[in-house]
Amino acid sequence: MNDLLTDKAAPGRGVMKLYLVSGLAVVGLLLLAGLAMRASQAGWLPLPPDGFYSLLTLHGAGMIVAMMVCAMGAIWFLTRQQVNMSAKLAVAAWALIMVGVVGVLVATLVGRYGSLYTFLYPMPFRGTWPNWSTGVFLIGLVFVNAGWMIWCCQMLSGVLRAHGGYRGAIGWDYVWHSKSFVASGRHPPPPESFPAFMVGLDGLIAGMAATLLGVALVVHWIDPEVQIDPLWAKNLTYFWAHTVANLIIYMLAGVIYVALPFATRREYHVSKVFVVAWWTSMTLTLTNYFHHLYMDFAQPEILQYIGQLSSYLSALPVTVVTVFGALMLVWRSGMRWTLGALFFYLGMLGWVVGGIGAEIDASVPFNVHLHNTLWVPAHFHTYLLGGCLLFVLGWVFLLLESRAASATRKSMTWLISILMFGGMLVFLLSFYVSGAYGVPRRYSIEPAPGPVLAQIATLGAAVMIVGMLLAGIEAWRLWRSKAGLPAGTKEAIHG
Amino acid sequence: MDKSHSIKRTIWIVLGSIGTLIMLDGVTMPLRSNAMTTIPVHHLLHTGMAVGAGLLALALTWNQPASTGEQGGWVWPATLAPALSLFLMWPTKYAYLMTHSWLHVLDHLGIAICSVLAIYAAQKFTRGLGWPMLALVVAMNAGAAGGFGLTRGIPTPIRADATASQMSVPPSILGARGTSRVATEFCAPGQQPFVPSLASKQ
Repeated sequence: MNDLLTDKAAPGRGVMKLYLVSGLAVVGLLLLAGLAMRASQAGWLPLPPDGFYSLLTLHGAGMIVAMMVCAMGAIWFLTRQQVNMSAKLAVAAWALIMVGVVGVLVATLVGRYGSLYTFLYPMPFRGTWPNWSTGVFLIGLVFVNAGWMIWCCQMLSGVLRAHGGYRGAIGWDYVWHSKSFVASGRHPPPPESFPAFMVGLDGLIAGMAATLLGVALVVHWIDPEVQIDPLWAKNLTYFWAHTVANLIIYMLAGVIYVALPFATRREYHVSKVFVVAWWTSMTLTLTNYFHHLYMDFAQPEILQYIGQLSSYLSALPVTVVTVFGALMLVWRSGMRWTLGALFFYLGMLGWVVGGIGAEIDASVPFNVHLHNTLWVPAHFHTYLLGGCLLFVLGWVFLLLESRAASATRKSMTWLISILMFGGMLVFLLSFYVSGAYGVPRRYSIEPAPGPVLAQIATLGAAVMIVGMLLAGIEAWRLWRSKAGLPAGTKEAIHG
Repeated sequence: MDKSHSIKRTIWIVLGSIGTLIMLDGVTMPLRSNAMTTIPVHHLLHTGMAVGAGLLALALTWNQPASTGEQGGWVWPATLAPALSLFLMWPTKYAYLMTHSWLHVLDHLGIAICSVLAIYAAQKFTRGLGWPMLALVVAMNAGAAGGFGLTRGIPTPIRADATASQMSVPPSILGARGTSRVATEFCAPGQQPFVPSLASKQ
């Protein structure tokens, strides 16, 4: 697998590029939307409330989908190395998702749809925006989900075929009949297969819930006489969206298993603990969303307990084995701290810190104080921006660096790092401090000390975006410098 | 080897037959009973049909060989048919269908065909995919009973000045103990409960 990054003829490279480039393009656009919103909360940019909420809707829904698309491209490519999968089908799934993205863009930017990315019933039907924009938004999400489900079917199919069915794919015999398994000369699936299997199966389950919710909402949009239970709709919404958000992290964990071994020239081993950790996440990721419904007093109490337990048990095992394993890989490996390697290493920090922030919020005594405060966007920005996006950028940079004729200058590496991570730190900290002060989330005009902290956040975000722009320019330079790479240069640079 | 094959075949013929009977029972139900049930109960009837449809679909594909490639075209009906079946469960049309038995039979037949198609297509796409699809189609139909179409309708607007005992939120939304819990857990003694209004602005 170590040659994978440098192998230009590796199958599925085109599909991966399509997903990565389109996903990152949307991310770039929505970073600016995020900056505009923070500037508006800071009082520096006059945004009318309806404009703010439609932008917030676009930012939330778009970022989740864009990060999802990036992660889908990367894990699809890794699975494609093990088994034949149709590129046409993957492109068709991508096209459906992109149609949905266009729908969301039109609904929010043209139609000013603004019931937020959680579109909790009955809010989509009670706003100041035109009725058509609600329909376009909902139908857009239905398209996104259709593409997602097709892609999940393909992933599940790929992993099942690669490892001889469910038993092989989850490493059942490797865990329970280890001696005979090893004696027979068999090997457990490679580490990246576990997140691939998880996203295929859990993604399909979440996708089916979204199908039910999407059809119900579209039916209600066409025929308002059809009534929907709001709590039921909220459960389905979070079941889908929270699971997908979690799966983005897990898909990118699969990328860590390939990227860091490449950077450190070591191997990531699959152990029994590793496999069992993935089983835990596969199961409990489906029930941890309940921690978003602690304040829903009508929710059966048992689900609140399940939510609390699942929140800890779904995240901790995989995070621990992945991060611990990654640290062991890096330790004394002599890894060169290129931008790609840095992004991965610091991304793990974002994953862990964001995860801890999530666990704090998922603990009932804390949730009483932090529920629907800016603590919530603090934690998910930490692991999506400071974790997932860094993993995606790390993957892109490792691909570029592995084939570039010249490496990034040290001064440039430092400059990009300081701007990106320094800005990110300031931006994220202001979210956490706001949350701790009880500043509510999803408010266009925040109570004190929200505006002051939003000013600090805006500055941090602006600095971070400058760093990202520099990273983009450097990525372009690396891409251009790959031409005419003489044999042996790569080893000279990376050896 | 042959004996094992034969036993499996027999088992699947039996399961497929049971599935067909269950499905046909659901499809023809409107011809035997026109009693208006609640929408959730009606969704649960569809769930039963989906179980039967799934058994039939898996029986039809039981000896499908393991394939090295994916049968790409099958993924479309596998993912789209469940959504189509949900549209056939449009809750407000039940009142009309209850008075038009044959139309109701056709509606049920459509739902059954969609269920068979989804599970059959998933299994054809890749062997092994039919099982999770069966579970998902059944769960989706059962899930619809949870809130896709409320028999009692959306609650009447709740006023902030209403006392807990005056609130008229149906149990499906508030839960059996919900009303008293609002008052006891979220309000100081003597304080009025605050519940966000669900009143339409339109």
